[in-house]
Formats: sequence, C-alpha cells, structure tokens
Amino acid sequence: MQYRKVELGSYNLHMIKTDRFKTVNVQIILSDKIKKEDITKRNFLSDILTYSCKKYKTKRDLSIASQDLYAASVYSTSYRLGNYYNTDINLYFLNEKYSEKGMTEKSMEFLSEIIFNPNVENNKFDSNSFNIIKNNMRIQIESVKEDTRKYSMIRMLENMDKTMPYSYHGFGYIEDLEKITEESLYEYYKELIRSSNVEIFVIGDIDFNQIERIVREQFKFNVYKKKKENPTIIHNKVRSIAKKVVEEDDINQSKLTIGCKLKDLTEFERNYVLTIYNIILGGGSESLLFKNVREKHSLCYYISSSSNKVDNLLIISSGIAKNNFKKALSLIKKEMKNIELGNFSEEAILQAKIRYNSILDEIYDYPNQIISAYYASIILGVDFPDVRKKKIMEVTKEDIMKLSKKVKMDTIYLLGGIDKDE
Amino acid sequence: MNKLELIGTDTYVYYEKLPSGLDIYLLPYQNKNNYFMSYFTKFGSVNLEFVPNGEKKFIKVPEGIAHFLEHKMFEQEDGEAPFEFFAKSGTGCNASTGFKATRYIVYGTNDLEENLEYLLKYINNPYFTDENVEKEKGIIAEEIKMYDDNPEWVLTEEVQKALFKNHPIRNDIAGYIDTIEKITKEQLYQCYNTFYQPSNMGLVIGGNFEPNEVIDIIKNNTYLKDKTKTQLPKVKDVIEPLKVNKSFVEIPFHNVTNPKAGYAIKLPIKGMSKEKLYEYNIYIGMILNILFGSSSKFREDMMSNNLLNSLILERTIVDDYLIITFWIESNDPKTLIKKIKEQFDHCQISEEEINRCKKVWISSEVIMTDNIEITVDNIINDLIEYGNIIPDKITVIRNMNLEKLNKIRKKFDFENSSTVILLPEENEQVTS
Repeated sequence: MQYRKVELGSYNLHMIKTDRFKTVNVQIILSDKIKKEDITKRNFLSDILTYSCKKYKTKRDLSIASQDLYAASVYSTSYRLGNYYNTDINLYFLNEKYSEKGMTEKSMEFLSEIIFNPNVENNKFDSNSFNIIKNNMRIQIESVKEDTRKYSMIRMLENMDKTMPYSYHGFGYIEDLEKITEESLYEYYKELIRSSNVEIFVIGDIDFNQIERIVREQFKFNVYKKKKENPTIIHNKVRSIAKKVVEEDDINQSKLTIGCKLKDLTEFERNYVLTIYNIILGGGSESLLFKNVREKHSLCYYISSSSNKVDNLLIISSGIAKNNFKKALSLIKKEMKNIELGNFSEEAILQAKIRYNSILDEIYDYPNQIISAYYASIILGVDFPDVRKKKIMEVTKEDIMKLSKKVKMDTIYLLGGIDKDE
Repeated sequence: MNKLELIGTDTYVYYEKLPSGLDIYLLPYQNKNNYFMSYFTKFGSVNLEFVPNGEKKFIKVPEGIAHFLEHKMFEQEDGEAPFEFFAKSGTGCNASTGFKATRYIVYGTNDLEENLEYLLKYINNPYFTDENVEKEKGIIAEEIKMYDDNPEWVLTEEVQKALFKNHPIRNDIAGYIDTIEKITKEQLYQCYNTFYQPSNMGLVIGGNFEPNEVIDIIKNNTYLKDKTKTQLPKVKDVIEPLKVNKSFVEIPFHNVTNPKAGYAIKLPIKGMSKEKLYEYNIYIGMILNILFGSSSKFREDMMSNNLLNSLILERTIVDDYLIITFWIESNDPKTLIKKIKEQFDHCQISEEEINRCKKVWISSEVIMTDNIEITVDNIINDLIEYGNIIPDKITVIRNMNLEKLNKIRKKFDFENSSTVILLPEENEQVTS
C-alpha cells in the first residue's frame, strides 16, 4: 500500500494505492462545527445532492447515468463527530480492468457534476426533488420511535444533557424541516461548499498522477482555510448520583440504556485503555455483561457496551422485561464494580488485546475502513493501525482499574417501564 | 478436489464431497487478512414434521425448535463455551436460523486451522441437559419480544401467514413463547440426530489460505472421520394450494407511524429443473427491476405524486412456489399496489433497458467477490436453493434476451397475491 498526500490550496487530497480491491473508492468529507439548527438543513442537502443534479434532473436520470458507468454508486451520509458535523459524499466504481478504459475519468466526472452542479435554477433547488426529499425526511423524523432501541438511546442522551451536541438528533427536527425552502437550501449549499473543511480520499489500484490531475481539474473547492480544532467533547458536569428516568410505552420489550461519562482521561487512556475496558465489560459474547446478565441470569437476549472517545461516553444497552429493571441494573453495576476491584483475569485482558488487534488487521480488508483510519489520524491524531497494535499491548490491569474509576454512571433510562417492578 | 472459476470475477472455488456426504467449498483469497467460515445444515424453522433418524414414524416438534437448537449448540460438555474458545484468538463466532437452514459462522484473522478444528468439534458434539434447556427459555423469550416490537419483522411474518395456507413457513422462525416453553432436550437430540448429518450439511470457507492444507484438516478431523453416509432426512411433504390463504389483511400496529405494506405474489414453479428455475428467477428479477427499480419511470412518478417513500423487491423460493414481494412504505399502499399492477400490464421493456440491467448485474457480481462474507453466503444460498453452486452466473446474465423476457412476462399472473398493511393505531380509532 502506498500513500500520497497533495495539498491543493485549501483542501487536501489523499491517495492510497493498493491492489487489494476490484473497485476504486472516493470519499469527500465536508466537516464543520456542529450547529443544532443546521443539522436538518445539512441532511436535506446531503440527500438532495445525490438525488438529482443539473445534468441529471431526476433521480431516474441520475440512476441511469450511474448504471451506465458499470453500476458506479454515489451515496452520502451525514453524521456527528464530537463537536463537528460531517457530510461524506462517497463514490465507488469498478476498476477499469473489469469495465472499460476511460471509466475512472468518467466516474469522477459524474461525482463532480453531483457536487458542483446541483439541480438549481434561479438560485432555487428544483421543486420536484425538493418536495420528495422533504417528504421522505418528514417520515424519517416521525418514525424514529419505530426503532425502540435507537429511540431509547436518544431519550437517554437528552436526559443526560440536552444542551450538549451528543443529544442533538442526527436525523433532524420537524420544526427546522418546515422552515427550509428551495432558496434557503441553496444559500446553505453555497455556504457549505465555501466554508467546510474538505478532505478527499481516493483508494484503489490507481495511478497517482492521473487521480491528482482529475481532482485538480474537476474538484475545485474554493474553501477558505480554517483552523482545525479538536472535536472531542469535554463534560462540564458529571452527576454524583445517576439520574434515573423511566418512561411508559406500549412495547413488548423494555429498552434499557445507561450513559456513563468519562472524566479526565489521558490520551493513552482514551485511545487504548478505554478500548480494552469496553471489550471486557460489554464488547461481545465474552464480556462480563453478556456472561452474567444474559448467560447466567437469562435476563436478556442482547446486552452490550460501546465507548465513544470523541464524546467521552460509554453507553450500555439491553432489552429486558420491565419487571427485571432493578435486577438488571444491579447486575450491571456489580460488573462495573468488579472491574474497579480488579475481579477480572489477565487472560481476559490478553484476549481483549488479541480481539482488538484482529479488528485492526481487518481494517485493510475494506476500503472505507482504510480511509477512516487515515481520517482519524488526521482529525483526532489517532495512531495508525500498526502503531496501535503495538501500543495496545502496553495496557495493564492497573491501567484498566484506574480508568474504571473515571467511568461515571450518569443517566439511566428505561423505555417501556413501570408495571410491577420488584 | 475440483476447481472451478466464478466466471468473470477472478475468484476460484475448490470443492469436494466427502464420503460421508458433507459438501466442502473453499475460496482462497490473496490480499486479504480475514477469513469467514460457515458450517450449515439444511434444517430451518419449516422442518417441523419428519421421521427421526433410525425411526419409522413421523413426529411433530414444537414451532421454533430449529432456532432453539441453534442456541443450544453453544453448550459444551467440558464447560467451555465456543465463544470462550474463539475469544482466545480474537475470533468471532455466531449463528443464525432461517426458514430452510441454520448457519454457524466463524470469522477473524488468526488461527484459522485451530478454529476450524474447533468449529467441527463443537458442532459435532451437542450437549443438552434439562437445566441448560430450561435456562435458554428466558433468553429466547426476550428475543421473540424484541422482534414483536419491530414493524418490518412483524410485517414479514404476517405476509407469510396471508400467503400460505398449510406450509410451515407460516410460523415465526423463533416460534412462540408457549411453543418454546414445551421444548425438551430429547426433542433437541432427535432433531440434531436427524438433520445434523453430513449428507444434510455443508462447509464453506473463504480467506487467505492454501486449499490443500485446509481440505486435509477437514478430512483428518477426528469428529468427521468416522461419520458414515446416512439417508437424507425424511420431511413431511406439504400440500400447499396456489390460492392464497388471505388476499387482504389490515393490521393496526402499536409501533408504526407511517403505513408499511407487503404485497406478495405466488408463482408456481413445480416441476421446473434447477437450471430452469435459476433462469426463470433472474428473468422475473430483471422484469421487476426494470419496471420498478431505481431507474424506473414508475418509481419517479410515484415519488413525485407523494405515493411512495420506499419500495424494496424480494424474491424467495418456497418449495413449489416463487414468491415475489414488494415491501412498501407509502401513505396510501392500496392505490400504490393498484398502480403496480397497471404498470406491469402496460409498460414496455426495451432492449436498451435489458442491456443496462445486465451491465449492472455483471458489475455487481464482480464487486461482491471483493467481500469474503458475501461471497460465502451467496454460495450457501445457491446450495440451499438450487442444490449446487452456479459458477457461470455472468454467462447466464449475458445470454438474457428480450424475446425470452417477454415470453416469461406474458405468463406472469397477479391472481394469487396477498396484501398486508400495518397501520398506525390511531387510524383504527378514527375508522371505528
């Protein structure tokens, strides 16, 4: 694998050459500080850009064009990364070896059309595309409760602190949606294209010079350069006694979500110790939570924990019967206490490290994961996978016990609770 | 070992049928760190009436037993759970039960050989006790309740119930709280001894390895070596009429905000050879894709008229029938379904559209082989549906033509169809 970075004025092009894949993958990341009131607009924009464009005025035309490029695929996603909000516009297409000569250039041109020539007339987005996207977004926002596990997570985060970015709804807000017009969306488009931090990644069996030339010609982002800040969220308060919220709901299985804040972690703790702590606590079927709450006490089908070092949060999630709420909660607390007391084996630590290293090895099997690894190193200063493989081995039992005291249970939320809780 | 190419994809498959009847398929990859193995048995939720191995009479077992058995395979007599063994090398393992098969998967980057040996050991050494069977009931009950809150899942189940009168595919894969309650360790052993026989199973592995070395490990495995070939399990035939059980069902559902619908059509395929069936199936797929897929005029029009939010097409084979399902999200599913039929009757398909669809499908076949897990799963799907792998898919796609497509389309019949709509509960109060 070869890597080359080219600074193109206000943005960077990162090229990774590898013969591991039959496709070429392109990812354009537009990133900016999060503003709650802009989330809906940004999602709208990310959807509408990949729905139609000036050259391909309907979804149908755009689909036909992508199919003619040997099923080239364009899709976009928007997501929060700590204090930042990112929009990724992705393209992948077959290596010319499996399609025909000239397809690299044509596929990249296609992506460029989508980003730089949106379906706009008289400073307004096309009404037909606009209304379809608006309608779909409305339904998406309204149906958030259908996924009870996700909804429980949202409610937990809101209860934790509704002023913090982690509680913002990633799918947007109805009030904001209703305010968006064809004109205001175009204004926002111009702002986004001008003011985001932009990184472009291209990975595959590529020719560096060709890709650089195409990007220089086709992707003329003219953003003003901004100082990059660390997106990590720092908590200004941590509850000494966890807030407990139980809400009634007419569902068959109650959803328990517990949010823990991480306080004053060192870089090493955040990047390494936390990973091992999480694997041991609830990272899989070998974890303390799975073995005790599910296997030993048969209280649930799923239980897991996940850590987010950018948000400084660790979240535990499970589906239980409502009258087992107290029992499940006390078992979870007990396992967290067990880590604090050092009641876990050296073997468990070693296994967690091996598991983590295996996950790192697998990064190289997927183009998007390789891109993410590079991006994480640029934005978060995270070490590269080969360095991570070595450093993770340095984590000791004492490190994990020390970290466990910085994991503060802050908010306990149960969706679909009450009845007869014993 | 035989070797063949998945044509046009630079991917090779080595295969062999062991004397015991076990099918082995190996896909060596260069340039990959990971591997994925899947050991499967053709035992799924539909296998409820059968003659147990060594016996003569048919028995009936409770709904959900195949899934229950899958959970219980993770118990070992020596007390070490498979999860624990695999965790030592940072390897993942899991299992899933479908209508027709149960799959046990192992995936990771380390110790392929040891993990393969262990997979063969644990699947060939069941250990069921009254206690461990009892313990599982609470866990599975929670799994069932979890799915009962999921509208897509409930809709799928309701569509099967509307479409089929007798076929056991009507039952939920995980069974029901009252049926799993009845399951005993004796029944689990009966199922195990009948369906977990090599002749009813297969093993497919993809990853960075030398096929000769891996086949040797399998051939010399202690738990497989002494296995002899047994007869295939005798499963009770079901007589399922072409006529659907119910053609229209509307269900108010507690956890849905916008109507969701399934519109499913039953097409008879009885007597078709496996090759013919494969071809027929992809022609139907192509017709639907052109008429209703992402580049169709229909989709564009329906979305512009605010009649459609999401439309997913699915094809499944259930014994004598090919089932086509339109999964719909729309504020007016009934009108949309009417439009689907009209579109089918009136819209022409052009040569150009066929060629574009072929191009997309061929490209997708190539792209898919980059992912080991997807490639292994595809091979297993072929083995389950067609009894064989289909290495020349790209050739079959290339040979598709308008004449044949129109012939198949002409015979297409919407007559035997079921519509199931899940509605928000408020709607019910308004109408009643």
